[in-house]
Amino acid sequence: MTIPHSQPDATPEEVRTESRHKAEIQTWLISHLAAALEINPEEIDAKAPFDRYGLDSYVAVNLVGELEDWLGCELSPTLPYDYPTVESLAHHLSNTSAISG
Amino acid sequence: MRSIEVIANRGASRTAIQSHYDIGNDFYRLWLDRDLNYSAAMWESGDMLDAAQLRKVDYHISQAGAEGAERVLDVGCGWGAVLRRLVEARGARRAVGLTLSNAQADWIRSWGNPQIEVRLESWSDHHPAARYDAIISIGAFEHFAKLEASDAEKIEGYRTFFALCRDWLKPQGRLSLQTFAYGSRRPREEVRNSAGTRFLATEIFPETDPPRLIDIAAAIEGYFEVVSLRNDRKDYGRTCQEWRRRLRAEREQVVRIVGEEVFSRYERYLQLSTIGFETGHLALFRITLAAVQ
Repeated sequence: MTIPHSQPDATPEEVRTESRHKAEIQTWLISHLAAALEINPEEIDAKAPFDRYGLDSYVAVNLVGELEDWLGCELSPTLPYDYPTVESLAHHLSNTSAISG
Repeated sequence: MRSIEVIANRGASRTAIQSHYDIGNDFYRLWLDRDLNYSAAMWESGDMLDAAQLRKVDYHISQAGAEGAERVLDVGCGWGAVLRRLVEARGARRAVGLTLSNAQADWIRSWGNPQIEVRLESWSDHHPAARYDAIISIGAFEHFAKLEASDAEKIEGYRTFFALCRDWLKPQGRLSLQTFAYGSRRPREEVRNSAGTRFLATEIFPETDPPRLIDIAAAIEGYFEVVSLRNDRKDYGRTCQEWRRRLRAEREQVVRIVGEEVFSRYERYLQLSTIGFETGHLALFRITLAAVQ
């Protein structure tokens, strides 16, 4: 598990809320990605680009569809391309869900 | 000499076209715009879908020089948005549309507009009564080549289309073409062999393989000169996103009309297309061509 960078102007509570959420999303992403690509979750590096694992548009659509069901909101199918690692996607989603409440 | 029919048969057949477009007007009405444009809109910030589609239609009418024209042809006229706009708002005297879809032809005939003629025929079978001032073709060229055709066969088929269009046009007449295509950011074979493309080719657009820019460039040689060329792929990405949003918003009705399976298939197609256009694996070309005499 990576330790989140705390932002200098964020209160400790905000950092904790965001990081917990992000960690949860990250765990979810790794397990679903591993299942979709039929590889071990341990093989997925959160900082490595998705296409290293053979993620194509078909898998991306499935992943985003499952994410939508889980988070209960509509998402762009291009998310895995706009945020091409587990870490950046989890970070983005944790911010988005924080904004939307 | 090969007959036109043999060459044209390399494109998507009537059956293939009908399998996609004859799902039913009621289905498409639920998630397309008011005028049933089933191709990329032309967006400006703050646009709703209706306005962005109308902008696209007007763009092609202007580019083709069809404003106030005597006779205009629309190859692959869909549900007739261009035909209607031509005669109702842009001063064209006569608009002729070609489609292979029964549902679309019936829809257009139901208007009973004497200035509009819709013909249930392929461009390869078209024999115009007189020359046209302008030709528009939006979202049809994609279907002119089959997946299994060789590059040479594809280009030959496209050349036949451009040769006919040139012959049908009055001197200095223009053709305004809109087609999606393979982008040049990745090798075509890589895109073609991806699971996403295979899904689209088998489940959504049977017997269809889009062109590359190089195919179009080769096919127009001797027939047309490029006046302008735009790759508006982001316009198609946004259009597919908006279509998907509308499809989901009408989910209950859609499922009632066509069932859960078709709903899911279309949602997936729109998502995959969004990815294709946003990543640039697919391009959306708007090409203005002037006939060479």
